[in-house]
Amino acid sequence: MASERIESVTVTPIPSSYRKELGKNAYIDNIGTQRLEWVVRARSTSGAEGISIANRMMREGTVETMLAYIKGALLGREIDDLLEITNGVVTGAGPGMDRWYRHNGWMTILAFDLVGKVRGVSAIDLLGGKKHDSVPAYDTTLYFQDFLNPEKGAQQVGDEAAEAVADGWQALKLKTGRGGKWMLPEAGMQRDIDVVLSVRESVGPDVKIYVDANFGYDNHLDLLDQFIKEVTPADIFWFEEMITHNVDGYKAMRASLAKHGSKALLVCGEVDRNPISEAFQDLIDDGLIDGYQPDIVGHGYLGWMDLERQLTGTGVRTIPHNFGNGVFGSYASIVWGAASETYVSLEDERNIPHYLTALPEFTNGAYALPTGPGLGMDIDEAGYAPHAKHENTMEV
Amino acid sequence: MPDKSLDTHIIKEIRITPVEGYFGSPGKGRIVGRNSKSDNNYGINQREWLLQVTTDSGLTGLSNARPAMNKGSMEDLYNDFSDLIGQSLSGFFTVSSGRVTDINPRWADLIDQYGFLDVALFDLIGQALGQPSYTLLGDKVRDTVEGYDSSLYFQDLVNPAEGANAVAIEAAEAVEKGWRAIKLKLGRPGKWFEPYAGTRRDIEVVESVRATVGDDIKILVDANNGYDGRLDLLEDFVRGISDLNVYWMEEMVTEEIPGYQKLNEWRDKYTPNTLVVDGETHKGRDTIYWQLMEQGLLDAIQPDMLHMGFWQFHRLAQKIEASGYDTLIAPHNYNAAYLGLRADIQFGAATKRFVIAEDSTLDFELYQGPEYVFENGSYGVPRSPGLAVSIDQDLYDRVYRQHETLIN
Repeated sequence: MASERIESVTVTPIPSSYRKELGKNAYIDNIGTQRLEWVVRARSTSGAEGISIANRMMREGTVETMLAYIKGALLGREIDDLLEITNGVVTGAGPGMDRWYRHNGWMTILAFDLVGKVRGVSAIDLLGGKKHDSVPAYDTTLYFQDFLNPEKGAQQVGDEAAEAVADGWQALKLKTGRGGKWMLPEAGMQRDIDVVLSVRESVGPDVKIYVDANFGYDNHLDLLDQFIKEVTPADIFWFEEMITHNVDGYKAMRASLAKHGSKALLVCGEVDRNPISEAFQDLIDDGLIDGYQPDIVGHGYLGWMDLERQLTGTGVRTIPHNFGNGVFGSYASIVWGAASETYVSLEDERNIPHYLTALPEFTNGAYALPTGPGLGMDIDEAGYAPHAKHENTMEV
Repeated sequence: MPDKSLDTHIIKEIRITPVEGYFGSPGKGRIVGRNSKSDNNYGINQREWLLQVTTDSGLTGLSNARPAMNKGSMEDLYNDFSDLIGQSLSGFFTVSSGRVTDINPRWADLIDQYGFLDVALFDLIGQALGQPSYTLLGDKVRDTVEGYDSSLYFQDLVNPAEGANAVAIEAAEAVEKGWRAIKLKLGRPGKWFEPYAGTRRDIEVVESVRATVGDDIKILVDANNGYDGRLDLLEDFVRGISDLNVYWMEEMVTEEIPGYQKLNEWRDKYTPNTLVVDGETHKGRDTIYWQLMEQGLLDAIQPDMLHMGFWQFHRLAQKIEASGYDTLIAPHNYNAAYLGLRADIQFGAATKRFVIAEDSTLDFELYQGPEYVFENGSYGVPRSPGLAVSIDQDLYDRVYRQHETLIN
């Protein structure tokens, strides 16, 4: 294994499709039907292959800058130098890798996948071993679907929620915050209420409902209080990003929950690009949030291992954000969720599978754990082939 | 003589309503891909924020408030437009002998901020006076206005198996549907491709489309500044399309004098009949575009139809005319969809320097504008008063009214 190294890296843009059109959230116009994933494949001397996606690098960067970065970070790198491992568990970055991983968590997931495959062990074991036998998931595709089917309005979300439950999901997240941009604040709040109540009516009492406003109630704590009051009978499991993170606002939210008898969790943190930054640390220290949500691929496994250590004893649970990461993100989340003590639920975009082997079995609203080495997935070469003409290839 | 008849029309209500339009019918349409910079696909649909300004006399003027909703919120728009309630149609512009001759300073800032508002006002004034909106600007200079299909984005990344041919396939469909001019989004070196591979793909796309649609179709190209920082590759591109009869090159690089001097030099050398056009992001006068025009480096200027509105665009055309330069006008109009295109056609009907209308080709089931007959790649200019567009009221009441924001 001493001479095992990364011999080639390819980066390929691959369209990823949803099962339906996704509408707006509180501040972004329609998500649409398709996104682009930037699939990175790093092959080692023995033919093992680590996989990840570099979507986040392409938000601000270009293919040219991304290729240069990946070349420096990975090409020719000894596999043993990717991660520091003690007694079969990863304890940190390999020598000199910190600077490459720092703002590119996706690369750490590739490292876990590749090292796992070369060693013939699961990334779950590299993370410390499994803590759960399955990983629950929630449908995260219930955007402002009422705008896409204006005739049905709020009921459109209720109908799509019922379809998700019929497909096996036992937890759903509803986008709210319509008054933040697209509607007048009070009218938006009323539509939010109609949507939540419509969904509860459609899915029955046993399905978990999460609510996410993408800060759509900023500057409207009065309306947020009213919203919480009206939807509390619908038994909300968590409220996410109802307002921008600040101690006073979250204290007010806690007070609203108590006043209206809601037992819902308060969660946030997907926008924290350098976790745990001060504003979120304040919320954690003051006991104002119950779940923390930096992105699974953006922050990566090493980052999340560190976060879980920092959150120990705070009561704050790990709920990595996963929207925009496609099927790969689901794999990455399942592996992380299996190994995390405090994991809650996987954010599932339910993309149509295409370039990766099929996800583990999904039953009763939860995924089984992958059994293969690394992340337990491989490229589905037949699904990948149509995209090969857009490969960017680098070799030693 | 000032037209006193406008005094009797008082703005009573304003409605703003989201309306989806699809590239093809809902559920069956195609996906419009990315451009050289935009991360999001335009997707299968785009939306208008239908603006309806209604008077106590029963007239309703239409426009699209999307430019405001792209940047701000419904609450902002509600607050800013509340002052319009109770205003007479005579208060916004000086209208004399059926022509708009000036703007009332009281409303100049609001109309400058929300150029689309003046499209609804010109619709109303035209209806009140019984004349088409364009006649408020001047006499008709053409009976039809040519349009170009503006929806051919990076379709090769939507349908990767086809590569460059993915664009050609959809270009052929556009020609089949009647367009005689099509615009191809280029600039692949800018972000999504390795720069040399992106340049090769850009050339390949133009070659493939020309081979597919034949010699009689106008091909326009637009790089959304995707060759910024790579003038070497831009020269390769211009050389690469030298025998492909490209009608115009748009936003090949960000507007600045030295880059445009090089671009014009290569254009003159390799493809001398191709126009160099730019300017969708500004309003024309006192900008870099005016400097480019003064140096003879810009053949057509492209401020956005709904950012400008009729009056500002008309004033810009007058200023260009007065300056003695040859620069043409080709309004940007992508997000403006149905109503912006109709405004564009009205503006083109009365503007000598107008070149061609940008058509996003979206289908909206709500609007009715039968006089805009699309034939042989061009739209007819209506004879009916105002913008000559109405909405299907039954459909509106059944589907859209529940989503409207009402200001009264």
